Amino acid sequence: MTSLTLPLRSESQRVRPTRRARLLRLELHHSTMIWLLPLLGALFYFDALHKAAGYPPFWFVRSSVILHELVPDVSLFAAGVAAWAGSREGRRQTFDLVSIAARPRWATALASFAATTIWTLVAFLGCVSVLYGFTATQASWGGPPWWPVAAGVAVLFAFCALGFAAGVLLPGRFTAPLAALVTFLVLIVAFRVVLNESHPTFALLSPMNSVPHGDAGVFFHYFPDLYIVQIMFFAGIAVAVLGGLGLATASGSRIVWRTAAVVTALGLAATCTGVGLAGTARVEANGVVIPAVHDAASDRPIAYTPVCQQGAIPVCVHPAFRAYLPDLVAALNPLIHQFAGLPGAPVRVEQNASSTVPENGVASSPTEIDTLVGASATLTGNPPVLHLALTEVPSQPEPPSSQPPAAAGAFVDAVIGPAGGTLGDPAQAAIEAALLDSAGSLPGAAAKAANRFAALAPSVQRAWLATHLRALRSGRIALAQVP
Amino acid sequence: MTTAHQRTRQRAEPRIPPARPSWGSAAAGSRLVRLYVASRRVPVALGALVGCSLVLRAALEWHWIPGSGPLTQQLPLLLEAGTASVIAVTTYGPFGEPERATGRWLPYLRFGTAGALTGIAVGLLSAGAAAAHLPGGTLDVVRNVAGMTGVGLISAAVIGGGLSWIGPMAYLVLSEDAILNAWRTPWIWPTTPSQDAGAALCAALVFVAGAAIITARGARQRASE
Repeated sequence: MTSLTLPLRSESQRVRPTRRARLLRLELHHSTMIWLLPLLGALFYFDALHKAAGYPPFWFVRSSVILHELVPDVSLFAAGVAAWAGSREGRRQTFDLVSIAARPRWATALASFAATTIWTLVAFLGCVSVLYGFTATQASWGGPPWWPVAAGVAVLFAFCALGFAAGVLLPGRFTAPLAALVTFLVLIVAFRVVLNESHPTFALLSPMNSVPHGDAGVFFHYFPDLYIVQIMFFAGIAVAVLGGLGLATASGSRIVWRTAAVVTALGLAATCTGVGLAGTARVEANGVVIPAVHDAASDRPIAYTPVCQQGAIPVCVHPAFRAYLPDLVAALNPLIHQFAGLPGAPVRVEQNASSTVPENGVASSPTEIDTLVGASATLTGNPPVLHLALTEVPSQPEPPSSQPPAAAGAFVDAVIGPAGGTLGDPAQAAIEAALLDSAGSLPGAAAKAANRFAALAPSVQRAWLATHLRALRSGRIALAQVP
Repeated sequence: MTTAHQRTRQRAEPRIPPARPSWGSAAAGSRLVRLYVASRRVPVALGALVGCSLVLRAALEWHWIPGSGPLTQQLPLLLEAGTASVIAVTTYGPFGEPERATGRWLPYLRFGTAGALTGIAVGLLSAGAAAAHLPGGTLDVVRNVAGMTGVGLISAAVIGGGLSWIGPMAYLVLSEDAILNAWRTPWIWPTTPSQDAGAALCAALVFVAGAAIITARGARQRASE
């Protein structure tokens, strides 16, 4: 009798890359996430895309919906489906079956996790491409910002990993809904609660921390520092969780255990570094500066050639605002005709970044508050140049008749009002109101309506209020309906 | 076979009584209910519902809910969707065809479990908000939990019990968007005040539809589950 020595693992049993790919392909085919793609597409259409369409067509402002709307919506379902995929062996009670398989349980679990994550990212990146494609048809300047996309990928990766680990470690039918619930709870509540805390570290790490102002990323680079730290934090969480999963499922294999331990340590190090760096952040006008990752080159303004409309006083705007120039000129024209050539009047109107033009806090009456919302201006230099900042613009260029009077109000306030944005005296307020009224701005129309109503007898006023107060409070009375 | 032979054979066959429900002894009934409840993991579901109630209590206690604005409804709505998801997932049955073939009381048990859990969820959330100002009040809780449970039961009948949580969660995301964008439709009832009769009717209709479907057909059985 001869003895036959068999190798511990034959050539055919060795796990080749093609077999790993086959395992991943099988998991991709059977992933539950595939069936959620239409639902995610529909939710993206109603939520993120709808909101983005309401923003002006500037790349950076539009891209804010990625982290504020799209990521929470996708995270909710990604975490739930990842938990469902992770709990598969537990629900089907096939632990013994897969434990004796040739491959480590960690490897098979990672294949299932990878399939769910890949489909999640396919959905996410598909939605981002639709959003950016839609914006590309409307934006007249600039290009798509990719840092929010990278941060979104890291957040989804982290929530997929957390959900999957919950499914593996606590298998059950309720794991998936509870993972989805906790994900949404963390995103909408926990991060919002810390926003109110005095220490901003965790608030800054939230992917939903703040909405950029109207011209963010147009005049200055929006700093990528915070995105870098968020990516570090969330990717670190994901890596640490997946490594921890390896530690929990490593059955006897020392190599697997050591690999998992190293991966976990790397993930924890990245997470702790992210938290530490967020603690050193300071909030500035153009974004959050984190000294360790800050690139000084991004402090410089972005070079551009302004787009101008010639006239008695030329009006120039940033090329990103090109579509608004006709409306802006139409709103300013009545005032330009009044002031052109007068001593101290501007010789040119230039658009500036809202972060460099101080907000004019003139608010002596509700009418004037309305006037100044969305724009501010300063008059500087010799010959004087009026620097106009547009912080709020409508989503699409609108006809001049419906253009908000913010720019006109800011113009008049800068030319007539006192320097430094302090409260104007009654004479200044009266002249400003009269000029705005003759320019056809909304405050004048409101003032006319106020005069009409004030001229009524008190009994008539009371009778009208008795009938219309409820509608008035709910904002259903048009200005023309005021008696 | 002759006609006479057939008659003889019919007489010889034992009479099978028609399938009529019979309560039997109280002990057998209670055992049936207990086994059904255990198979649907109702005790775990009750624990999850208690957890939602405690989170609501904590949110009200520590002022996690903003005092005004559209975000006031966000957290209560999330917890209501969570309870509806948990109730929907209890419709998943592990036995499949054998249970359907032999369980005569199954429709009653399905309806009773869904109805009882919905009532308990409303009670627990209301208890969690007791002596505190919950935006919308208890009426809001009743309407939202019932309506979203209906959505969950319908999705259980369509996509299966295990994944039925997707329905209430999708409805939650849609409702959050509707609230933030000030859309008003009775079919998205969380956007309307609790006194709105149309929205309450829509929520009730969805609950009745979900309960009827789940009572008659049960959750969809999928091979992958």
